Amino acid sequence: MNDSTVTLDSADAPQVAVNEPIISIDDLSFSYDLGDTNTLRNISLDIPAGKVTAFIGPSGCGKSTLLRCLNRMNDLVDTAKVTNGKISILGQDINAPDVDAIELRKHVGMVFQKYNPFPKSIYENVAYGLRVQGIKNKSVLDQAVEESLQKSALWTEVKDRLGTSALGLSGGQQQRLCIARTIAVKPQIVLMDEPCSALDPIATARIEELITELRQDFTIAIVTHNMQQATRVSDQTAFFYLGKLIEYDDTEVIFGNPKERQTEDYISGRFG
Amino acid sequence: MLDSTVTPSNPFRAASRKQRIKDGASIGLLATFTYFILVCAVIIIGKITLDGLPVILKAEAPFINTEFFTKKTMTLNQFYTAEGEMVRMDNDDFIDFQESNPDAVIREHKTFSYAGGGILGPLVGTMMLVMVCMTAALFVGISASIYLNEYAKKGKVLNAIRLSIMNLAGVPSIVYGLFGAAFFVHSPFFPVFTNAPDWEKSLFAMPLWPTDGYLSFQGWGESLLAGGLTLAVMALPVIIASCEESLKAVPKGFREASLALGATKWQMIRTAVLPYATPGILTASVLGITRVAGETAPIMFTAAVAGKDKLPWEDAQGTGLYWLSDMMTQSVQALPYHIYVVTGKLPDDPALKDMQYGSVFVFLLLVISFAMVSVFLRASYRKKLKW
Amino acid sequence: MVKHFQRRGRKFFGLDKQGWIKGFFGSNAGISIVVLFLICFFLVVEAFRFFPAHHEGLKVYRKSGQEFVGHIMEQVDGYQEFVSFTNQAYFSEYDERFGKERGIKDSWEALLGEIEDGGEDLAEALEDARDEEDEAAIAEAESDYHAFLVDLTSEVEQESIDSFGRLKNQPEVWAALLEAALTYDPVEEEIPAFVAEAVRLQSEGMRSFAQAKDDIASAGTGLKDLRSKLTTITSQIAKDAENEKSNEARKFAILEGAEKLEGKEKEEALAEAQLIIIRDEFPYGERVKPLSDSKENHQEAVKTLREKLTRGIANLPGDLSSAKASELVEEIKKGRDRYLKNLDRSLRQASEWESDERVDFGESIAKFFFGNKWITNSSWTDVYGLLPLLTGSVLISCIALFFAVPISIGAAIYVNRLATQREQTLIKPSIEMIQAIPSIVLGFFGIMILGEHLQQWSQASWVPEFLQIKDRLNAFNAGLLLALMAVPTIFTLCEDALNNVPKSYSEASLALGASKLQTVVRVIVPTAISGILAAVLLGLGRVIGETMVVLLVAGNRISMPDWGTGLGIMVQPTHTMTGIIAQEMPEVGPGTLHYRALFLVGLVLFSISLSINIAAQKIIKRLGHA
Repeated sequence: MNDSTVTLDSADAPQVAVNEPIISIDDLSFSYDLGDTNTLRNISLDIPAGKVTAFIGPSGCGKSTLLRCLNRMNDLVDTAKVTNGKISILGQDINAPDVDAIELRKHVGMVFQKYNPFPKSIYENVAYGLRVQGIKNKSVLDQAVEESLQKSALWTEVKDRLGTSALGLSGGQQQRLCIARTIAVKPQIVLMDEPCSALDPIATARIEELITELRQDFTIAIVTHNMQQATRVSDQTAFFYLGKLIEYDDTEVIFGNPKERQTEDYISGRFG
Repeated sequence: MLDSTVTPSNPFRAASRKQRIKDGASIGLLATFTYFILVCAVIIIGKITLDGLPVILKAEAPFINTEFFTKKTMTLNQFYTAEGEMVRMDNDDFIDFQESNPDAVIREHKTFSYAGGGILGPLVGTMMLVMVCMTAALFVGISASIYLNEYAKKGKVLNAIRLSIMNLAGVPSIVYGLFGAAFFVHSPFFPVFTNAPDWEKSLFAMPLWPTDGYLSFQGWGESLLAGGLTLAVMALPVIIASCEESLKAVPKGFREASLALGATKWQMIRTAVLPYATPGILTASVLGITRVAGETAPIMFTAAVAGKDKLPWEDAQGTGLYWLSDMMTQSVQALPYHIYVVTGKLPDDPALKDMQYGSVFVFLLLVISFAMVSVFLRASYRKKLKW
Repeated sequence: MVKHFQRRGRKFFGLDKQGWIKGFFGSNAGISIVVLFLICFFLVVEAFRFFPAHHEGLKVYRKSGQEFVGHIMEQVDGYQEFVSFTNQAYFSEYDERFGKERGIKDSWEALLGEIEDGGEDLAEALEDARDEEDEAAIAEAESDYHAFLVDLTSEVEQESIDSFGRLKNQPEVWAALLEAALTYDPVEEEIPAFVAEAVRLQSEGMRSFAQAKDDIASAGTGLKDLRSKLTTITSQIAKDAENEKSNEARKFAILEGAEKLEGKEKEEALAEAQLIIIRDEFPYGERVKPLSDSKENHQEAVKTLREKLTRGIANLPGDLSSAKASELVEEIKKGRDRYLKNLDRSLRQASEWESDERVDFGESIAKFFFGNKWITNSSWTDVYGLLPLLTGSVLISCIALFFAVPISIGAAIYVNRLATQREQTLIKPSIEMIQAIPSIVLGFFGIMILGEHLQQWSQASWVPEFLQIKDRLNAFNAGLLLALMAVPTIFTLCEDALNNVPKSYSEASLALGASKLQTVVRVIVPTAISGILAAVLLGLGRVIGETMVVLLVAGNRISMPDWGTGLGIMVQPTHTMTGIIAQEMPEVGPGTLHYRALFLVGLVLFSISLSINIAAQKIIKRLGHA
């Protein structure tokens, strides 16, 4: 067995110290219709490494769009276009022509709103990201699968039925499987797009616990509708409204003592 | 650790060149497949157009070879004159020619059945077949789809009907032909009005006093009715499916509103459903025409003949009902069958080329334009559905 | 009492107006069930009546001794192939080795024919003059004859050199021949020395081959004689038996006619009626006596055939100059053992034949489903065997799917997942349009254009020999066109299936760093696989039920594929189930055995497509549950 030849593409990336900005967004404007109307307008913010950053705001404020800009999932929309500004991750402008979106996504993983495991076995779901990187070595895969499942607190529940279909799991388990799948590739950043919105409160609690644990290994950006959730899991919070970044600060500040009127109105439930 | 001003290298550069090449090559291959299909279609249609168009065009005004559309199919004569010049002539012209030049030298005289004249007979036959077919198929198809969409409740009956429709759609066209031959053509259950019943075949013949004719149950024979209805049976699944689609597109609210105002079910269907489904039903009928007009196999033994001197209405005997009945039980020429006859059943000869390419081109043009209309109608209809 | 909320209106037969309307629509919907039922009913009724009639036919075939003769025919047919192969081999070897000599000999003989035809009178005059020993007369006759020869040779030289084609390319030999002709003496009939030499050379050179050829050619004389003798006898028996069936009706008709006649005519008619025998059973037993008696002759004839043929084949020379000849000899030697085995088998079967042996009903079924011959309108006996048609249909479908499946699935993947929006709006309706091209038009294209081009292309040097197309109309040509017909069906259904894969799957895969292609291959296609499978099945259904293309393009040769050619079976002409119905149905009268056989083929076809359809529905249904 020659493990040394098997390396994940994300392993050779530069490391960033905790609290240093790992993502810097600079004056970003973004449009879904080739620039006719901007969904995001002049957003600038730095996301620190090793922390959990929450994006909050009313529906349609652009928080999910921003998240999808970070791993260029918006490329899937033919008419999507960054109209101004830039996003740097690990110091690299991710919209530069020599950036490969596929490589980028290996460093910037994503967990979706609705849990979406593939109609494959649990094992294959977790191993998927490694397999597409060309890793065929069974023991490497086994190890990665176990590790990821353990990290996502799913191992004890599924270790005896790794070969069964992932669609047989409960909703919360499926979402944790999706997280396991994402972290199996060892990304530096994990984006979470309202990961709990389709789950019941108990499952939600478990995911939140998991997020808290994962912050040791990953930088996490999470979009959430649920302000309590933001206070529970995040270190930093950004509030968006109508495509603009209204306020960005430590979570305690945002929820304890917001500077902007709109932020206060929103968190106190006056609109949204 | 990290110096943000200095980026050592792009961490997101495309890593595996091999994978990229593999991706590019595979996507290229798939695209090639896709365009290959279109190229095949273009070659076929293009070649037929290239060779067929000259047949129906001519150099002087009105630039369209009207004779090709207005003359009946007849025998083509080919011979060499005394000067060694080759001449091709339709049979009627040939007879005139011989009458006016009784001394003309005719060498190597050859005749080709069905290759001369025009395609009036086949055109008329196909149109009449399609008319008979669509009348029957639309009547049954629309009624059936109204039942399925408005009345039927989930259960065994509905399942059975749906299963039948689905399976009917998969029956090969030649099997429809066999069925039509056994049922409409040869079985004696279908009546005709006639003065001279075929006593051998007739199940029984009812004298219709005071005329001296009979209503004779003797089967329809190879005829417009038999062929048209065979085609109708074939078109039924398509028509039911697309009619249902257009009924389903009418929002539930319309129905509920109508019922809430005290309309009976039938009034509701008549006033709140059918008017809004009409464009969809129109589309369905065009789609149905496209499907059946191109078929050859089902009419081969139910309606079509290779040659016929008279159009159905010219050949029909009697008056009134008798005339109608006689016309509908005539066998006819049909364009697709005509193509089969001039390409598949006659020995190959350059003299046939004009008739072959001309008929195929006209036929293709007809079918493709109907298909285009149906694709266009459906697209625009689906776009308009915004209630 | 006031009644509220009650139905109004009168009822007819227990239903009110709304009920009647509902009933009307419902019955129209029910028509689809009725039609499906009627299709099944008519197919089954006509098709199942095939078996008893077929059984009856097989019984007559056995009883009349046609079965016995059939075995002999089979033996003779197989033997004839050896004769024709040997002849071909002989002559191509002959041409190769003694082409020049043969040319000299043939041309000399042709020239001599001309001379003898034209100079008959002159030659007689010359002979008379010589008999009378009249010098002057001799001289005159000789000069007359010479003048005739000069005329003739110049005429031959100018006009009809074509009929001496073999020498066309050798002007010097031709000139020598004409020269020799000028000195030809009709009384001495002396052959020029170089012609004689040529004749000697070739007859010596070809002697052993000629010997073998004659052996082979004469090996089957006895068997052939026996065949023609017995064929006449059995045909007569079968005809008589057939005629006797109508005896009763005929007798009745004559008697009825006689009623109206008077006097002598009536007596004559009655006498004629008297002659007509009506009996329960045709006396096959006594009529087939000559056949049973000739079993020994048959044994004898086969023995002779066997010996002479074996000897002839063994004597065929090994080292041949002509490539074609050695190929043919090779074929002959290869075919020998198989033929001899068949010969023994049919000899055994023939000797086991008994006129009064029972024919099992099962045989009439087995002979249809497993028979490898379909022969109709024959002067001998009609044979209805499904296998050649079934294999033809299957072969063409395989070829069609081989091309259509990868192309249409590939195109569906491309259009659905990889193409731009604009490409999608262009390609999808275009492919739908292809579906509208009528099959007769595609058949037309195949017969007029594609066939010839394929044949030309297949002559290219890189095409292996077994794939070179000999017949313009063949299974491959038809398969390609059917592939184009299947493409829209498979494409559309595949595209639907791919479209049904949730978008979240591809998003998840892409977010994990998979490329578009990896996403398609690893997630989308596996998820849509049952839909794709169903699409392929429905494509198969479309292809196997297609009629006009195969009728026009498949070549319509009814025979089992020649498996010996391997993949070469693809380019052989073949016939199909749909094709045979379309081709033969217009020619048969309703109610005949042939008509029912065609319905039975139709029923088989119907069952196949129904099963395919049902299988596809099952697969789709299971997909729905997943």
